[in-house]
This record gives sequence, C-alpha cells and structure tokens, in this order.
Amino acid sequence: MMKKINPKIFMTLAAIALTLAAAFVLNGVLDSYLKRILNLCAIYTIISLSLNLVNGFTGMFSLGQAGFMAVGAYSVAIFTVPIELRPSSFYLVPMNPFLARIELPLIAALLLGGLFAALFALVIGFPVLRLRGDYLAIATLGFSEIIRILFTNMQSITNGALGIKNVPPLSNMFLIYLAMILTIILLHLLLTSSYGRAFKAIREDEIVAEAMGIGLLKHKLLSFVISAFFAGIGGGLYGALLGTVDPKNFMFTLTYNFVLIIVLGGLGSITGTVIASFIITFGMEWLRFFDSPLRLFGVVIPFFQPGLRMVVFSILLMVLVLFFQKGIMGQREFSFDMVRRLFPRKKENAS
Amino acid sequence: MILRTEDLTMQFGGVTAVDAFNLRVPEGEIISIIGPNGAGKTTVFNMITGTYAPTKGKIFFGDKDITAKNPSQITKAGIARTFQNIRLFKDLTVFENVIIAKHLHLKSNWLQSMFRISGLPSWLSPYPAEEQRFQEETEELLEKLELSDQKDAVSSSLPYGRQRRLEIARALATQPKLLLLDEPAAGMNPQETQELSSFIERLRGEFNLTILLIEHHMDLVMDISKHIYVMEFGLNIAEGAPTEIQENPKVIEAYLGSDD
Repeated sequence: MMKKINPKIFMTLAAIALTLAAAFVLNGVLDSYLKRILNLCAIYTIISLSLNLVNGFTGMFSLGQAGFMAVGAYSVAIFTVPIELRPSSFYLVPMNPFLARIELPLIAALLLGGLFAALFALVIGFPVLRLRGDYLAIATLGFSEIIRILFTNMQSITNGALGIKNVPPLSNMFLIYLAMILTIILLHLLLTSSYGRAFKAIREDEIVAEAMGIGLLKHKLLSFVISAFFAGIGGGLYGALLGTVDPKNFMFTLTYNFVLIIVLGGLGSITGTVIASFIITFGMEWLRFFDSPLRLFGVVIPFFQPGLRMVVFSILLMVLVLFFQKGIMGQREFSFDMVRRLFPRKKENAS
Repeated sequence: MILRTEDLTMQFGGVTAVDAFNLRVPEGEIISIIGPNGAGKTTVFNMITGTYAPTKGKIFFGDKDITAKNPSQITKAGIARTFQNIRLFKDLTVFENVIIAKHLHLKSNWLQSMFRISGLPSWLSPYPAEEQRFQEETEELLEKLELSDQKDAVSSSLPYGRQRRLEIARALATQPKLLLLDEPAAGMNPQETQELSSFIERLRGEFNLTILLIEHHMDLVMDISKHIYVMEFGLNIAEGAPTEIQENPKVIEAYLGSDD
C-alpha cells in the first residue's frame, strides 16, 4: 500500500530544515554582537518554554527557573572547563580532587545538567507541589535562592562567589538553535499526548481533574521535573554563552524575564513563547539607549540614565496586563491551517 | 451491595454535617438522597468520592474499603461523579472534555506517550493504539449522548442543558460502575426534567450503571428511584420506597414545616 506523506509533516520538516540552515549560514555571516543576541533569543526560548509548561500548561505558579538554570550552568562549567585551566579559577581553594579529573564534552555536560536539575525538582517537588497558587510561587522562589546560596558556599566544587571562568565559549548558532528546535518538538509531543491533556485539565480545574482520575501530585511532579530538565539545559547553554558562571548570574530576578516572556506570549502557547522570547530579548537590547544620557538640541534629558530601561519595560508589562491579558497568542498555536486561512487563494493552487 | 457506608460522619469544627449515615446501594439500581438545602447530601458525595475524609465511619465499594482514599484512586476504582454547579473544563472543547477522562485508563508511560510512532508493533510503541482507542470511544460516547454535532465547540458555549449532559458524558468516559449525580435537574424546566428522567433510566441500562442521585425535583426522584434516603440537618430521618417516603410524616414535616 502506498502511503502518502502528510503535507503538514512535510512542511514542518521543511521549516525545521530552513531554520537550521539559516542558523548555520548566519553563524558564519553575522557579527558577534548580533549572533550573541540571536543565541540569547534561542536560549531564552528554551527556558521560557520550560516555565510555560508548568505555569501556562499545568496551571501552577512556579518561580524557580533561575535555580534550575544555575544547576545546569554549573554542570557545564564544572565539567567542560579544560583540566589545565581549572587552577586559574580555583586559586583560593583547589577543586574537589574527584571532580578535578573529569572533563566532559559540552553535550554530555548539558544533558547531565538537565538531569541534575530534574533530580533537584523531583526532591523538592514532593513536599512543595502540595502547595497551591501564591504559596507554591514563594516556595519555588525560596528554593531557587537556596540553590544559589548553596553554590556560593560550595567552594571546592563551584568556586563560591568567585565563579568559574574559562568555560569554553559557545557561539555556534547551529547547535543552540538545534537545542531550541528539539525542545519545541519534545514539548509539543508531550503536550499533544494524553499527558498533555491531563496537564491542561489540572490547569482548568484541579478538583475536577482529580475527580476524573488524574493523580494530581504525580502529574504536577511530572510537569515540574520535565520543566526543570529543560531549564537545566537552557541554563547550561546560558553558562556556555556567557563563558563564566558565577552565582550572581542566577539571582531570582532572572526568572522574571521568563515570566514576562510567557505572559506576553500567552500562558499555554508554545508559539507565543517563541515569539515573545525574540521580542523581549531584542527589546532589552534595543531599549538600551534609555540607559545612556540623551542629548537633544544641546539639552540633556534628565530621565535618561541607567535603570530607565527597566522602568520602560515595567510600564510595557503593565500595559500588557491591562489590555492584552491573554498575551500575543492566548492558548492558540501556530498551524499551517492558520496560514492557509490567512491566504485563502493559495489553498486552491495547492490542492 | 455495590456501595455501603457504616456510620459515616463528618464534622466541621463543632458542626456535624453528616451524622452516622448508613447508605446501602444495591447494584444496578437508582437510589436517591433527598433533603432540604444544607442537609448534608453533597457532603455525603464528597466523602464517597474522597474530596473529604470522613471524621468517623467507613465506606465500602464492593468489598473494598475506600474510606479516605484520594479522589483519583476512587475514580479509578469505578466511581464517577458530576457536580452540583456545572464544572466543565470551560476553555476546552467538548471532545477534549471527554477524552481527558480517558487518561486514567492509559497504560503507556509519559516517555512512551511522547516518543510515539504509529505503525510500529504495540510492544515497541504502545501509545498510538491506545490514543486511537480513546478517540474512538470518545466519538462513540458523544454519539450516544447526542453531543457529536458540537464536539469541536468550546464547552462553555454550549446551552445549559447540553453542558449538564456533557458533564455526564465526561463522567461516563471514566467507565464507572457507579455514577453519582449531584442535582442533575437543577435549573431545568418541567419538560427538560421529564426528559432527564428517561435519560437517566436509559444510561443505567446502556452502560450497566448503578446510580446514586441527589435531587430536589420530587417528580424526578419519585419517578425513577428504587429507594430513597431522606436527610435533614445531617441525620437520615427516613428511608424507603418512593410511595412510603411520600406518606412519611417526618418527611412532610421536613419539607413543609410543622404547625407549631
């Protein structure tokens, strides 16, 4: 029997190939500044998607992403810095002799970081996920700070407040965009499965979901652990992009960027998250001119000073929450049907 | 007896919402609990379905003690419910509302569900066959309950009566042996109530159900119940066949008040 290839699958594969090809080509063409922003966009997409899985799709309110990122970033930093370069970071207290001998390739360290983050999530999830709403937010926020404080004090493993330098810098757009696409595909597969429906049921109404036989703790834990895994991967890439990893990079304020992204994109939309990640990351860069003094017709405008960028951003967020509560996409997703509806003529040509 | 409670008691602080309630539900029958508002009927439901853990007493489902099990375990054991105030997954479609209730029968784990490849033998990728079965069963159920014409509509856009029916469809999707209906006729006019009564009868036959019903519409209750329990202030003040209940002076007093 001849099997016809579904045109949607074909188009999806084509879109993926196109993105990866573009990433590959742009990697050789663009200057390092633009490349860095684009890489940051992809990494923010991964982490925001992980947060959206918990907050947007499962209806919990977690603010622990910075903590899970730190776990991933430190895994990459600890395991990928070349052994001969380690003493230059660990000059106060030498590195733990067991760890000092292990060097792993980036991919292995990334996966390990994801797994560590997932393990952490599993351990704290058991007590914490019984909490609801704001209480869960506070508990996860506290937890992400605990991780940071732990890392600040584990001198022989993380080099404490000094951080770890000489992480082999990652600027390969192809690799980062591959990670982003894999994240999108895997989360899409999860969310369109029966488990994804169970998550959405919990988001809609916990009590009813449980009355329909969906074990709350099991499914919340699953969502939380998978989310932590991807946050760990994203954190690892982030650490590799920065080239140095130190505890101050993972303050709880970092999480707010991702909260902003998922609210702007739409809680419960993968497409929205991707779009919003790019908008916010580029926005953060382009709004930098607010932070430097501005001189107009010889007069210095007094408001333009460091910090104004965040004021503008906060106002944008308020406008968003007031007027576009569902974000760019709400809970909708991009589909080829949507494109076809936009261009009704094309449909006739295609078929 | 498919369901049996022994001295089921629920206290909230100093208030006794349900006091030593002994319920017997024989398999395949329609049994009703009636009583004025605040009598403790829904509390009985909440204890049976695991939403509340009873202060005292036991609940047996068949031979199994299900006292204070959590709601999802109880649903898995074969008890499904609807809610007094309709509680659909409002933003999801009719189809999604029902298929979600199939999830408890899923045998594939989350990894098998994610990495699904249709066309492989089921020991390699068991999920596609299960998903296919869920979809078919959901279609069939919607067909039986005459909801298929609106299966892709957002559930909150349905008219009131159909939302009630959808809630029942969702409960049936868990494939229960015992169905608890909490005021299914609330807000319905006499004609709709009459239709509901034959609908419930039909469900019982078609799905081999035992039905436990809370209801205020006396016509409906008297029409379809085999046995009726009457509650007032947490106490079971009377029980019996519909004709006995109608003539019971205690019941008349509870509903109409006494002279003094």
